[in-house]
Amino acid sequence: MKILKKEADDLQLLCFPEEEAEKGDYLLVTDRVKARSLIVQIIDIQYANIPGMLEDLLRDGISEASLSGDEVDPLNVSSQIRILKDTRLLVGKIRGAIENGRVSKDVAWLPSRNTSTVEPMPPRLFFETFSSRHSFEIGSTNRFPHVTPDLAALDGRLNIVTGRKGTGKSHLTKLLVSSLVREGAPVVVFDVNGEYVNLGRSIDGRELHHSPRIISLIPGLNLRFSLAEVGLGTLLGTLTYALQLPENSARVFSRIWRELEEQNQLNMSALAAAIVNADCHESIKDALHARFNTLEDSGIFTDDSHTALSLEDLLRNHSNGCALIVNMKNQHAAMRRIVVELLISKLTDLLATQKLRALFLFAEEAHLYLRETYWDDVVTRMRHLGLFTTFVTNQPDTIQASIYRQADNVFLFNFSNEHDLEVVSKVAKVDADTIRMVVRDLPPRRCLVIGDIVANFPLVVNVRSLEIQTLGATRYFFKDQLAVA
Amino acid sequence: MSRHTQQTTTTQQKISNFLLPEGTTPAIPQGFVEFCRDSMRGLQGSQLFVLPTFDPDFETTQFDGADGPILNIDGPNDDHVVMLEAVATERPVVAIDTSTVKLGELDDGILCALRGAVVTLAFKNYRYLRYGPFVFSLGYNAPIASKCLANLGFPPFSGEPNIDSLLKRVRNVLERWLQFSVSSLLTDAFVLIDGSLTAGTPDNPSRELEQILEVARRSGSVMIAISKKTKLRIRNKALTNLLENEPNPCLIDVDTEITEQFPPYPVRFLGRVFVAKLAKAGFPFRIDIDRHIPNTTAVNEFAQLAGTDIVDQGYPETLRMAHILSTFTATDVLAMQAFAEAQFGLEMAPKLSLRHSLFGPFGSRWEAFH
Repeated sequence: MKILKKEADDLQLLCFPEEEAEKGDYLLVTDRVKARSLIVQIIDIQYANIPGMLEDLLRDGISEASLSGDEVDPLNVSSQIRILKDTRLLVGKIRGAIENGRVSKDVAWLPSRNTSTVEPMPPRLFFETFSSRHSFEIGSTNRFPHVTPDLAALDGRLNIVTGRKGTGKSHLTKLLVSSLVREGAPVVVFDVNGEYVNLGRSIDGRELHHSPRIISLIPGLNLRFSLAEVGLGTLLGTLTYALQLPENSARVFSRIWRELEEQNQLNMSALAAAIVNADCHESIKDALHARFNTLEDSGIFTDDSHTALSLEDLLRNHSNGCALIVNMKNQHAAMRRIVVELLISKLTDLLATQKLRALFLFAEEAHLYLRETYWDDVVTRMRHLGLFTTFVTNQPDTIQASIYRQADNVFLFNFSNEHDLEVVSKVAKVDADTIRMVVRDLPPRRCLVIGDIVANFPLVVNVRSLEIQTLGATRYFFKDQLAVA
Repeated sequence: MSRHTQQTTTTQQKISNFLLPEGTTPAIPQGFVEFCRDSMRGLQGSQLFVLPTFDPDFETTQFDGADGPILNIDGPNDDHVVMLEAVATERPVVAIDTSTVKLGELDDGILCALRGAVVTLAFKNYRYLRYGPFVFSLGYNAPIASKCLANLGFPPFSGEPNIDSLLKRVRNVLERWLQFSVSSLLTDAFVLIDGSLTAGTPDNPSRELEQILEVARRSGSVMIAISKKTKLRIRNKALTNLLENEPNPCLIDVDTEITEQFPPYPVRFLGRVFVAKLAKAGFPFRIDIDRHIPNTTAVNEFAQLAGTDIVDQGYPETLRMAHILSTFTATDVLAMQAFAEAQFGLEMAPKLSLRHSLFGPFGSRWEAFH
């Protein structure tokens, strides 16, 4: 390869046919005299614009279409012509430099066109500069196996996993969840499609050693709370945000709650009776009654202390790491909102009162159940409390622009739609060109990783396969479709 | 013509493959390849000053008789125009064309390339055979140049070689070899070449052309030269304007009017000169046909050519393709420069532009911007 041109942080290289290069690859452009190297990532591959190419191709086209023939080329000059025709132009972004064996951001110098060498750069060079105590294998690049970033880069961070459907978002999320659990982290997953419940099982159905730490919670079945466990604040929040209880009615509900609390009568049947007998306007009574019925029908509340779940106890009992999979498959929208509202509210309580140190939350298609006010909360208050969220979606425009700008790590799978690319290009940690050019061509299971987890060197990774049961793969009717997938 | 005689056996074999099934790989005479290799020996480490633009030579090597001042000759009357009616035949049509390009300047010469193409129409199929590119150098050092050219059958020479003239000669050698080979192998064919059947200059000797015509005649073939450009003029108008008011295929014999203007030596008109329009609403061209073919037969041959080959815009398709296939593009030039660098150790350097050096941005044309 040869350096052709540099403009700002763009570097163009000529790549000859026998040389391999793919979008996303990292190259090390080393100036031996200066003993420094530029770290360049290929973001686009084009045909080299060689003079006379149009005439050449037109001539070839005419020949191929209307006549056949033979070449007598005893000097074998034509081989050079073929090389030129297939010479490619690599468009690269300068991401950094290496000086004295250390990665630096000093790129204010030009490598020599004559004496510089260009070679593939192994991703381990990025990670070597960081102490990686919680490394996990995310996958490989096209050239190098074993990309092992540090899980700690998810800690205290806001993350996004996005891409169009069928590209491998859930697969990666499962890898992240199981890796966090292995490292002893508490994780909560809002599982819309019930596809994380078998994280503890191998492909052939065997229980894996971390299986006991994968806890599936089904609302109304083993995810049930007592009123006392939930508390007024949490329940009021649920009634207000998930069930749109008007303010006046909320005030009456608070009064009823306190009265029952004083009488030590905080249970569902007493609450129902208190609403019926409440001294208030009939319309308020009706409103409260309707919401109570919804809560009761959800089956999420119980007066039986044996079946009621204590999140605090559950997490304390799994202090060596666990994943609480909140299985919301087949749940209607209101139910999802109630469950999420209750859980987030409860988890924030635990974090605020230091009963829980920190927690990783994975929210699939969060727009289906997360209320508007939570978006800002996620990046401000909850983050400081220790609730670190990873959003997983195939509709990138359902996540607010502010989230993209503040995301610390982004895992981008394929998008070909211009609008989607436009939305995700707002990620602050990388230029829009890289996203547009690289993401558009990503095949399934390959993603562009951006952010702290890759030391801020955007990396195209082939996500490794998992030894666990990955429910959630697209289900096909035609068997040949399955083979294609 | 000892050169051609020696080559005939191998050449016949190679060209006979030409109309045979695909996949055959005929070879060029070894002498020509040796000439190229010899000319490149000793260039290791030499600098090749590449030109800022490439300038392929599309001109024909054939001399049209009107070198120098433009001739203004009296023309025939319009009533001599003969209408052409295309006659379809199964006769093969073969077209031959070559082109050269200068790849750069050496300290004591130039680096050039040559390519030839033969396109044939037989059994309603077009096929081609392309020779080259041949990369070679031509030097100002007379003994070395003379030694190199000996491989091509040129007699030794002394004195200052004229590079442009030498290049024309080398091209002429390949062109004549192709014409000879084709003429000797095919029977009852139309052999089309670019230019004219006029010869008799040092770069374009008449002896070879005479022999080629003779061989073609013996094989029942007819050699026709078609010239896109001629300096010959009649009544202060281009020769081809004689047919400007004729929309239909036709021709006019201008042979007598032209040949009468020239002395019999050294320039020799080995072809009978016509202006012909081979297709309706096509362009008129100067067309030469073997002089030994009687006038009436010649008209018939033109009619058959017009009915056998596609003559879109009045120009035979085989010849058009031969031209396209033999020409060089800028990509070819780059590749051949790279070839010379890799194979023969030439070091490329930009050619100093005196205009740019002297006048800077006030120079003119392309150089001013580079």
